[in-house]
Amino acid sequence: MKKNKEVYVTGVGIVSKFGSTINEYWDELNKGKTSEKQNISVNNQNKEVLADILSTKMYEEDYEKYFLDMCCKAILTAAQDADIDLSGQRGCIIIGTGMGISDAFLSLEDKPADFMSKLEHKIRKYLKVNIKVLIMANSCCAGAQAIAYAYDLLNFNDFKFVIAGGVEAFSYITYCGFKRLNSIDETGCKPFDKNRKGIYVGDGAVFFVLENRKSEHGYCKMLGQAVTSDAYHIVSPEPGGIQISRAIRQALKQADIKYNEIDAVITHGTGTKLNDIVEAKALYDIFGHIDVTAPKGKIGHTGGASGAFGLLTAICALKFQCLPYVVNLNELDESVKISPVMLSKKFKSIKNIIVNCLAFGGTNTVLVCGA
Amino acid sequence: MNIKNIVIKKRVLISNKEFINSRFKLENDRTMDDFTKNILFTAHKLFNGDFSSLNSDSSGIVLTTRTGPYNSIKSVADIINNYDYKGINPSLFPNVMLSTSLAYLTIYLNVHGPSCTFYDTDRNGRNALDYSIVQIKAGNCDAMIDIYTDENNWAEGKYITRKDFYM
Repeated sequence: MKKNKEVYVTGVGIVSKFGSTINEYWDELNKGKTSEKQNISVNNQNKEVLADILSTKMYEEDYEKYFLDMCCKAILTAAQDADIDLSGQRGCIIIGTGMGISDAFLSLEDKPADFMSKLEHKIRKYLKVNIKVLIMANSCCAGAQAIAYAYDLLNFNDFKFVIAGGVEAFSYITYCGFKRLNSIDETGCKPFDKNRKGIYVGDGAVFFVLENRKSEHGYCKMLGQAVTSDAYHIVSPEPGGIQISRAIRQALKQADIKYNEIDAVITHGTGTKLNDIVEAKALYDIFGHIDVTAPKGKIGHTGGASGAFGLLTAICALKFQCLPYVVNLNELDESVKISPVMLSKKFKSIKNIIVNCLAFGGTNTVLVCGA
Repeated sequence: MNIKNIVIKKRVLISNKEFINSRFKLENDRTMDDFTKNILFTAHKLFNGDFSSLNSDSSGIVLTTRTGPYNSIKSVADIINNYDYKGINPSLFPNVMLSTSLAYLTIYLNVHGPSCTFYDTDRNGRNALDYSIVQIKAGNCDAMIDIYTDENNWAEGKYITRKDFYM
């Protein structure tokens, strides 16, 4: 195998309730939160949902527009940040999304058979470019997989840049499904807490420009990535965390760094009973008592965008040399042997950091990045 | 992209009629939608039902579709419109996500390598082929199983490996 080229994050675009710049997002991550109920209207029926979302009017106005605005604004901001001309250079955009525009099916109008894949054309039309657009839709790890694939494409294709990341607009379909599966914690997401009961829903978009050149921003260097599959269950993780551990080991091997050179982990940390235990076990098996954080306690589960929010949190940790604390984590689950940052942020030297992203259905994606 | 040393070792095309006539049945397929069953049937035909030669850790999967699980998404959306979340069958709900078909297929083939799904308007599935080639070239796996299917339509399966890879 040939030695990998260097890959850097040279631009960042954020569309989130928690800020549109790295500094704003970082400030918000370090504030506690209270869970708030929101009212949305779906086909003129009022629905009360517990979620942190950018708007509550998307079903009354235009769901597709809500999704496209979020997605394309983040892409355009990232491109501008990296000084990329989307029309003039050879590049590619990879969209990671769990549900895409599925919620448009809640409207009573019929949809064409290829409605879901047409998203690719709609994004090109919105951006007014003719660039290659890929839609990766592997639930919660879609964004992380988009970034992982971007890393590989920059090594094995002749793209000058790849814009990759994740977008998830609030999905009432998903919300209802998780509510029916009793996976929503009405009191907020509490990753690794003894009293955790499930997820809390968020939405937003984060996209990154990845290139083989360093930029003045110097957000981070992508050192490696790996994707493995549990092949175990449709919704539950394999209890031993074997494939999560394998993904971490493969990503470290690709990055050519040892486990003791990793300073922290941005966990997937959903706040669901089994997932947190399995992820903590897999991490402990490799790293022992490593410092970790879990942004979902603050921003909620952003579905297919969650891996991109994970990388954004990693970039913040590298920039500020500090890990945000896990919001809502008050009493650590005794079976969790890793060290989630509790109650206040933790300043420490961070050179290399891992982002974990574990999908519904058992796809495990790991990103390794460095300062 | 340089595709030297990568080959499509097996390829199969399945018509919707063949899938329907096959009455393909699996254990515990009660909660599986037809979209997923068609994917598994295609994989079954690709290997003539014998997966013993697949290397579990070094094989990956890519699924591509124009429609996705259209009928499952529409059905769950209709239920929500009529009965809200209480009407949802929790065992059928995951079928709205492409990741569920992928999970069923990884379990069916017992494959632990890189797996991924694309929505793609191109029926030739070029993006999935690119993905497979890149995964093999990057050393992420030795072989990829590439399945394309649409709801109520034909399906295609490919088994892609390095030229020097023997089953």
